[in-house]
Amino acid sequence: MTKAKPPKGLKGWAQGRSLWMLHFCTGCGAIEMPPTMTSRYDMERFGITPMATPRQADLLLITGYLTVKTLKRVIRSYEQMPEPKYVVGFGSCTVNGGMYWDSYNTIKRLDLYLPIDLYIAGCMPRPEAIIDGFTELIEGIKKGKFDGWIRYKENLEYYKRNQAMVMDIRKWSLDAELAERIWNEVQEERRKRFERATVKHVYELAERIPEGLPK
Amino acid sequence: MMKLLYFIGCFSGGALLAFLLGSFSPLLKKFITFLAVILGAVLFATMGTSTYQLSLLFGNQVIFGIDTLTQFMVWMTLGIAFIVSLVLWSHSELSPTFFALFLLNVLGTVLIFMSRDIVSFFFSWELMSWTAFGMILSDGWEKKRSAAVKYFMWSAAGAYMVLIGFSILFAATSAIRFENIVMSVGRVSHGWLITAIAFLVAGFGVKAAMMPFHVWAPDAYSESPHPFTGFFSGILSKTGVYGIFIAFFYLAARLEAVPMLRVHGTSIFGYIMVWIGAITAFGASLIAVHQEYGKKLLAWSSVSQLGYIIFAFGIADSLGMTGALSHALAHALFKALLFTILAGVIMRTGTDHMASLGGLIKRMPLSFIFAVVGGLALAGIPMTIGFTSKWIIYEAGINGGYIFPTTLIFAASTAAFLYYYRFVYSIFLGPLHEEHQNVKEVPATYWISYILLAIPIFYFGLYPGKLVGIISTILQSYNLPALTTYTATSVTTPLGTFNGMVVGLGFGAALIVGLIVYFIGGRVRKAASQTDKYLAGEVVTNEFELHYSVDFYRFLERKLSWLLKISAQKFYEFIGELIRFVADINRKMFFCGNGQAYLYYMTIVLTILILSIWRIKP
Amino acid sequence: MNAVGLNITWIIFMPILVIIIGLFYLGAARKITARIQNRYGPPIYQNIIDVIKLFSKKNPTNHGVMFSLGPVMAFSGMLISLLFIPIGNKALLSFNGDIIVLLYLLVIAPLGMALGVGEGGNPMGTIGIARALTLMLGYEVVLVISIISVILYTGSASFMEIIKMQSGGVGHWFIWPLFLSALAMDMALQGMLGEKPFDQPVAPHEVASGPMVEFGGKYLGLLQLYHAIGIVVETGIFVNLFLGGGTLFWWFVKSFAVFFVALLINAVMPRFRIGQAFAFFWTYPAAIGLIGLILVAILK
Repeated sequence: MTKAKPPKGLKGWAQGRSLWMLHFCTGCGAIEMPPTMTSRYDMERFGITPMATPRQADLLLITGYLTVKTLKRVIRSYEQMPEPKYVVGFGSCTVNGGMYWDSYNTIKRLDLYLPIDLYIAGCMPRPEAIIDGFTELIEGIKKGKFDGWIRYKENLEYYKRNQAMVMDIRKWSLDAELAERIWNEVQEERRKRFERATVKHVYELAERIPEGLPK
Repeated sequence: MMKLLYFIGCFSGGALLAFLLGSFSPLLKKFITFLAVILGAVLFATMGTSTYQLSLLFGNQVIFGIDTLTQFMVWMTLGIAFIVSLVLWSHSELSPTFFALFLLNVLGTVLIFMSRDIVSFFFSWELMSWTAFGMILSDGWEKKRSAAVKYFMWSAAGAYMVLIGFSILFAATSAIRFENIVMSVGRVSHGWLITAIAFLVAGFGVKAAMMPFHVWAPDAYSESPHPFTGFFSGILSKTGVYGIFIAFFYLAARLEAVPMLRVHGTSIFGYIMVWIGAITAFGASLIAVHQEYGKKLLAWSSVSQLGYIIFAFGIADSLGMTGALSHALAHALFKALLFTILAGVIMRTGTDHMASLGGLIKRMPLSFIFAVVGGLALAGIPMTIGFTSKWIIYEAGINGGYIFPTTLIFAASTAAFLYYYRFVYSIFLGPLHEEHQNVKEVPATYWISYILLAIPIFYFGLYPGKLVGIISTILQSYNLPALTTYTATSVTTPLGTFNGMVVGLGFGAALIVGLIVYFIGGRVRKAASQTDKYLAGEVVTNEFELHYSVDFYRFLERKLSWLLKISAQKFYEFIGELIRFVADINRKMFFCGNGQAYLYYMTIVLTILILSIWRIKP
Repeated sequence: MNAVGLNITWIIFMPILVIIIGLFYLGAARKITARIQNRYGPPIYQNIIDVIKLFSKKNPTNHGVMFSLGPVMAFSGMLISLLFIPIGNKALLSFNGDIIVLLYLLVIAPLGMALGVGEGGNPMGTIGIARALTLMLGYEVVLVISIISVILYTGSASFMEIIKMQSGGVGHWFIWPLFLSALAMDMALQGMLGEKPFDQPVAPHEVASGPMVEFGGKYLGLLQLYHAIGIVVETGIFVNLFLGGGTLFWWFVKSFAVFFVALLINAVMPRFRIGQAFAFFWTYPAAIGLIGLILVAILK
């Protein structure tokens, strides 16, 4: 089987010049979107338009911190999007937790759960920074640089395992069989580790941080 | 002579056999019914166009005849009867009485179309009405009483009105044959003729579900046994249409010359019928939009479609007549198809409550395809017979200058899209309910009948000229204005042209282009499960109600509530209450239980009788 | 090349031309709306990029056979409707059917889409369809009143005849003698095009873009093409009935002008509730249309 590649040439150009983003707003970053869309910065000149449903969208913006509860919905929406699809993380919350670094119910590193193509740093990034990020995204897509959805598909087990650490993936995954299997494995593993655990390990167990992506 | 007797004997003998032998074996009653309909059709085919005299007691004779119109109507009847008898193969649960009554009903309907005098017409009319009444009741008196009694009361009222109309004509012309009546109709005074026509049209209008005489129809249609409803709505209503046709064009034509009775160049009867037809079509389709049960919806839709026919008859020029007769056929075909599909759905799922159905396309794809075909014809989409007939009706309306009724008719046909979509969505589309996971496709008898009905629907849609040709022949034989500007595939009216074949081929080509564009787009992913839908990121289980089917057009209902409040039913209920009130007073005054008072009343009545005889005697 | 051959050539090439021009209309619409809102706006060819992108998307979700056939039927239905209106003196197939045939051909497309949306099974899509049909019941009456007044005025329902009667300069256009009917039809057109204040069926904030809710990738691409053709067809009816057709270039100029008016209203209007929209059509535009119709009937 040939390895899937991001689109290039005409397809890549069209994909870059017409990015429809999913109107899914989490956290405080959402407030930076209206100025970016409206007359001062006008995102639409790059062909970026908000869309109501994931079926129509190419771009998923994670505009700020994600609670575990929201993460479920984000994953569902992401899996419903047609390919190619891109994820952009906004602000420090999606990079390392930001000001929620010690919160018990927000996730810290978004790229453990979803393949991030681009981060836009800041707390929150101003519209200039967002436009700058989008420009880089568009240029990168035209050259076929971003391949997040391919990574997600190829390392689905890895992502599902990470997701299973924080949430019940059985209900929220499109691939129900895989989710069931991984969920059972993770539960088994977790049960074994809890048997050996002391109080200081509990936090670690709540969110395990694995090292790097598998080859 | 003998052929007619064979024909009658075939059906009535079949009915007798089905009734007697049916209780022994369910197979036998179905087989006898099926055979009787086929045999009847074969016998009818050999009869050609001819006239038959039957001698009754005391040397009286009744006349039956077959002409082109009769052939058209009878073939329609026998065709739909064949479909029903085919579908009945899958319905052993219906009683032998039902099968017997069905055959008698077909016989009565056919004899109405054949009869050429008052007596045989009225006899056949009663046969048809009574057997239909029996069939509504055949699954039990308790459940269906209200609908059956309503149907029976209205049928009786209609029959009496017809009888009064005929009696007036008989009294004035002392002829019972239609042709003699027509010949001597000149002797009837205008006043009596108008009264007779009014009674006849009202009486037939009951059968044709003309507003305000329509109230029985939705109940009776929806309560009749499911396989039979297609015949009930498609054919039995056409007897009313046929009655209006003969009453109107044998008799009313004579009134054309009276200037007082003319509005905008047509007779006032035509003008009234155009308005009644338009209001029937419009009002009934608005009511159909808000129905929650499939059969009720289609029943109201039938009332609406019959409104089109009455509208077109009222116009009464070549276009109107052609439109009316072609829509009579179109309505019989697509309504039989839709009711048969609904019967199949009810057979498999046990309900026609649209909110509890849904998603059946996954389990009954064939039924869905033909529901779309029927719906295309119902909504009047080009390439189907529904468009051919409706198009002629629209052109007739505009060409005749009936601009406001025509606007109503157009609005009615837009409302038809509304209720048709509701029907097909609520039953076949949307999510599949848990309890219908194991529903099977309808049996072969059903889908064969779907195919048989779909063939003429498309044939006359692609070859509108063939249909117009048949109807023009009929109209010419009655010396009525006929549409002559047609070829096999196209019809031309004074306003414009419609070429069914070009539309069909064009759409076929466009569909191929569309499919090519579709397949260029590459592969698709099958939805992971039924709940793999965009629900704002939420995941629901199958039990979650995702079927948008209750109060489908709530926003429309709110805005139209003032219009929907107007109800003929309520008016009749008010009259009923009024009669009950008067009767109550009557009872208190006269039926007091006092023997002396009774004797007193009897004396008065006798006195009046004696006086009246004495007055007439000299 | 003889006349028939030329017509067949046009029948083949006109849809391609109309699709491209229709996509430019949509792009221009976005640009114009942006300029009214004091934005820069996307390039005018943005919708062509969108369509290319949509067709290059992989694995859009499919909910069943009718779901796939729905957009195809919508596209094909619009394509065949297109051939039944004369465009710029090119008769195409319009001598095989008159205005009423066109009116009912125009229904195939939404009906196909509605069936597709139905199999998609998303309640929001169905609410969108229910709204669209309700809106249709509203504007269709107005549209029909206007069309009847034109037919009554000319005595013909054939587009070619009506265009022929308007030849001879601006003064002969029916928009002058039938001003009220034209006004009513323009209002109906606003609903037909689905521009604000009549965009309830696709309201993104209420029903998540309504009928399109489950369509992505090439399905949405087909629907974009359908929409692009639809705009040309729907404005084209107005151009042929009231603005006298014209040569190919002028026909598209007029058609864009009609669309432009709708856009200007769209850019500054909020959205009606669906009940209000329906009631609106049955009051003011219908009244205007009826007055126009009565005037035609009296003065004729």
